[in-house]
Amino acid sequence: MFSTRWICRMHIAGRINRLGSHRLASTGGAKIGKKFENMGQIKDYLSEPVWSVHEYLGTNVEESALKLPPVKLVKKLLRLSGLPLEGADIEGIQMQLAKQLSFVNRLHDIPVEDGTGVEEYGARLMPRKTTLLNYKMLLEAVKHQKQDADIGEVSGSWTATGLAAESKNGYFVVREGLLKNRK
Amino acid sequence: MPLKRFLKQPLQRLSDLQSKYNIFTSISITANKEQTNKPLTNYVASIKDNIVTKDLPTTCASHILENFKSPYDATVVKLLKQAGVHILGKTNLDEFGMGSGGVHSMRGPVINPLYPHEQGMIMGGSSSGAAASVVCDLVDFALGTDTGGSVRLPACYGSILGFKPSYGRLSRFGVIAYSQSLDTVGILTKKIDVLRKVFQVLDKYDTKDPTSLNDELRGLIEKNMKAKKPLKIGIVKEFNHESLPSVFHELYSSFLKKLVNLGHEIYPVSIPSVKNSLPIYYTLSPAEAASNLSRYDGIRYGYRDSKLDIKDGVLFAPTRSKFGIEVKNRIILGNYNLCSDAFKNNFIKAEKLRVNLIDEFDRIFRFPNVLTDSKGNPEGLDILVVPTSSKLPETIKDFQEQESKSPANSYINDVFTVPMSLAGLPTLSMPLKEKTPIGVQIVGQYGDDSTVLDFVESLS
Amino acid sequence: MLRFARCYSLARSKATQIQSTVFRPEYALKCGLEIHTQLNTKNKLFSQSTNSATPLLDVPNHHTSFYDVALPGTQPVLNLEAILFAMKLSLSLNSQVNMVSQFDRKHYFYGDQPQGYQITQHYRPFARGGKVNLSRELDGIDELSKDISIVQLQIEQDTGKSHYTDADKDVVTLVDLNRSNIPLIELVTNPDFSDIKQVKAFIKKYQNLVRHLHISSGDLETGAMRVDVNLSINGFARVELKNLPNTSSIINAIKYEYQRQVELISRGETDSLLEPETRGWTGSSTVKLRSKETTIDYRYMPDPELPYINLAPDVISGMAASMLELPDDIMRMLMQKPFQLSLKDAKILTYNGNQNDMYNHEALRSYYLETFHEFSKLIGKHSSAKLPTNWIIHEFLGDLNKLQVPLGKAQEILPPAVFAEFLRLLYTDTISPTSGKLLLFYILENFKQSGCQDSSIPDLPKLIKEFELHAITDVDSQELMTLCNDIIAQHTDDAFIRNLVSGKKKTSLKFLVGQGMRQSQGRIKASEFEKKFKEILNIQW
Repeated sequence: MFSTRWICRMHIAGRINRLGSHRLASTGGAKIGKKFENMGQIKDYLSEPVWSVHEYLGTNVEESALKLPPVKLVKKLLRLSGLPLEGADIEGIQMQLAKQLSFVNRLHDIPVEDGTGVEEYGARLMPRKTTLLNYKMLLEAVKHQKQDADIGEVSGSWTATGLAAESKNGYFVVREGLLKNRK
Repeated sequence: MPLKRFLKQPLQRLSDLQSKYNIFTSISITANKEQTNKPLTNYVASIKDNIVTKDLPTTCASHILENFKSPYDATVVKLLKQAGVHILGKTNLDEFGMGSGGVHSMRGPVINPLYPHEQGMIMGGSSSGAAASVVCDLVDFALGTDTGGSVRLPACYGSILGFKPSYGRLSRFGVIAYSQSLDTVGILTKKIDVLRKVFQVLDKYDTKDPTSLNDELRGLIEKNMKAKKPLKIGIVKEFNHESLPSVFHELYSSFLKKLVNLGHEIYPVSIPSVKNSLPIYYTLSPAEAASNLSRYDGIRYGYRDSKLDIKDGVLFAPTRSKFGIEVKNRIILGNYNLCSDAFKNNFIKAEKLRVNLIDEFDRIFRFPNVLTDSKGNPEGLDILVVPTSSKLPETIKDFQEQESKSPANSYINDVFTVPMSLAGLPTLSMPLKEKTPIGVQIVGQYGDDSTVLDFVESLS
Repeated sequence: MLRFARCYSLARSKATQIQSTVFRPEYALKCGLEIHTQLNTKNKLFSQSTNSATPLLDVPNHHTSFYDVALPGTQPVLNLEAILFAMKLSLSLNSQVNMVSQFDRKHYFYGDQPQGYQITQHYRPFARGGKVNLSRELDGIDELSKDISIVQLQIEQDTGKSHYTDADKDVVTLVDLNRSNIPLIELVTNPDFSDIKQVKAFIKKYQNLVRHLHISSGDLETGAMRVDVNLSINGFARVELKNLPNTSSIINAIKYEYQRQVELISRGETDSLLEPETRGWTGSSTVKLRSKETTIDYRYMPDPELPYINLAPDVISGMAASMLELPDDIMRMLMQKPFQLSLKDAKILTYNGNQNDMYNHEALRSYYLETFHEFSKLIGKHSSAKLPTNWIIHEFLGDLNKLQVPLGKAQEILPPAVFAEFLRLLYTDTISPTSGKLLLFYILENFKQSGCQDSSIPDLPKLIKEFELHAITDVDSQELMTLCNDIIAQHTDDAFIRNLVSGKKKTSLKFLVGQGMRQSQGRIKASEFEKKFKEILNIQW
């Protein structure tokens, strides 16, 4: 049974059940409850909404309550993004960014379940313990590395500048000398 | 040879459907040389236009790749061609895969063929054209990509099957990166047997993709397989939302009843980290996107501003100004997340919370996870059943209005799909009723794609 | 180029003049280096495109794969050879190799940066720590010994190459991506340098090391090695110096920058020295490139798809076992008994000198060591270290260069055992040094005239006989007397004789002996002449 009592047993009562006081998600352990015995139990379980996405993510926050990022920051971000400053809707971007940040900055308040020494390195969907490269494997692998003409690795197997809108004597062209004006 | 003899629809209907629903970015009506005795002989497919093809342009529905034609085929395309598939065309999408409505395309929004086109209902995105091509029976199956739900949501809205395999099973070589730590090639179709065959053809290790699941681990997964019956199925507490429409509840209940009647065991399960998924996702994916999209400068390929390569001291800004608005927004947010100050607070934090989420999934599944070395919970579940969408399709106008109020409004479409993307889990969205845009996702443990496919097959 | 060279030499002479006064203890120089070294792996770092050994001769964008041009959908796959090379270097520098390292993206836009980011190692570099020892003995620094400690070693991608043209008003940059994605190792030292000699010695030594390990050409001129300098004085902010294409510009830029800052400090104008800045070298002065305000935020991000480099412990032990002896050890070995080479000669055998020479130092060293060994066997003792040294390193090499015969070829007719036999003839005075020179040159010239084809081993005794080169041991006293008298008659006058006999100018005897040696082509020993001259002139001293 997945009743309130059951949740109490899992020591997560309140955390996920009462949004008002504990809006933060718990990162406490995942738990499997007791098997449902009949459809009635399942229906009861499903009729019990647990959280409100809007409330949790702050998507219901009024625009006036948002803290706008400074114009200087927006300009810096545009520059880093390789986007033009001229004609940019700075105010619009400020508001957009403010909304996005009120949403992603939720992360700051969520505690990391750190008991097991969680490291960010495990976040990628690749083996956490990759096969160790040993000396023999390395030497073997180096021996077997070869060029693949299908992906242009054989020198001269394709014309690299062939896809460019502009090229000159086999070079790509940037229409700016020395690139000195870079900020 | 003309392709029409393999098409289920007459060619005339193709152009009619295209003009109504805006499905394709390019079409090819010449068929390959006919091949016999291939696993997918004479199947017709569409390819999402962020997967590169030699024969047709690849635009990502972006001005920035206008007229770009790749000199090579993506591995998945190559495998399909080798298996005898005819490729009908490249499908429309949200620019570079960024969006959940299918509206952010330089070619204009895809319209959901499940409804009369006059209503202008969204298809869901970002594999919007892929789903529409299947809904209209123009193809036997479509290849899409799924970063946070981009195959599953449009599949749900089109009332078809949409499968996002385990991350790393299908090669991403030639798939234009949006956010590589999440990007997954997916399959959309109406028939589970077709899905299965296509998956078998594509489910191969690719040395060209550094994130491809290697043969050693594939073997390990194979070894872990056991026939299970009945299945232990979990319903996740954290996916119980106030926002789910009542029509969903009705269909969902009868679906679960069917499962009980088939002898499966249903369990309540709590995975608290699921609630952190959206902020994690919208920290990591824009950061990766900002990084990946910095190569589009017009110098070597793609669109290029006719006059300038630098403006206001910003290199390549004249060309890069051609990105669509949603893409620009995500690049700006992504760069914010990567700036030295935010990196520690946001990016690293998001990665740690992603680890928490993966670990929680590991705790409730019976099947081992070969990536994390989790041995599997002997008392654990075989699959989870999760709603695909918290909403029904809305009109394009409403969707755009909501989105313009706050970007987060459209992000919320991803609330049911993103957790499985973050953990790389095999997830199949299936309709709960014919021609009805309501679906559930069947979720397996990482690598356990066959349990998911077996289960869905057993229901048909 | 010529104009530049002149600039440099001017700058140098000016700087040298002030050098002794400029480095004053009250203005303490603190200097560190950042060195980028191109690895000469067969292929590039994240693709298997050709890593060309002749970059200056290549057609632009010829060695570029789809990945190198950053085509959409391409992915990086690590070239493991770069790991092996990095491992060699790390072990040679005593650096701690990280068992897990990772690749990160460093973002900035530039025409020659096709991905919009460079893949480097920021958060977990390949190796940390380690040092290079400089010594007065081997490197000529002022201190007896000085360690330069290393912060870290990281593997990263090179960028493409920009060529700036300004034909008319149309100012464009031409971009060649052949260099793009070639593996680099960036080495960062601590700011341990306190004078120019150390910097110079370090660069030379590091250059020699990478050449010795065969992991890079180490050439500054071709850009295979690039050095940035960071420098601060008396704890003021760090100034980075870039665009330093060769050793002299590195040295002169440091001198110039030191002088510039000392002047500012001594005048109390230190405002500009409070914030770090980056300066470039024009050939005669340093100019500001950017200050902290305009510093780019590189937004380092772990690459989301490249696997971490996860090494098994046996990689280090396996590599360590296969490592060559390091240059300093070789130098010390050569300078000690039994070889006792001079520093200069030891360097010739240890370091890769002039590329145009007819030999490489490794082949020469093994030729030298083998010949030495054979020679020792023949004469049964080690007392004559000088003979092999002089005859191999000086005479033999000189002939090879003069005749343009490569060592590898010459070895066919003069293998170590034969050369040792030749040395024995000299050692036993069977032939005089002068005859020896003639004989050696004759043999090589003859070989050269055969187009280096006739590789039959020369019959030394036969040749000596044929050309009458053997030393005359039984000198006919009468003949010798006549010869000496002739010399006296031809080359002396009364005053000469007076001064010689009285002992006022004893060196005159050497002159006479020299004349005798010349006329007898060295076949008669000097001591015979000396005895005879003394006898004739009745010299008593």
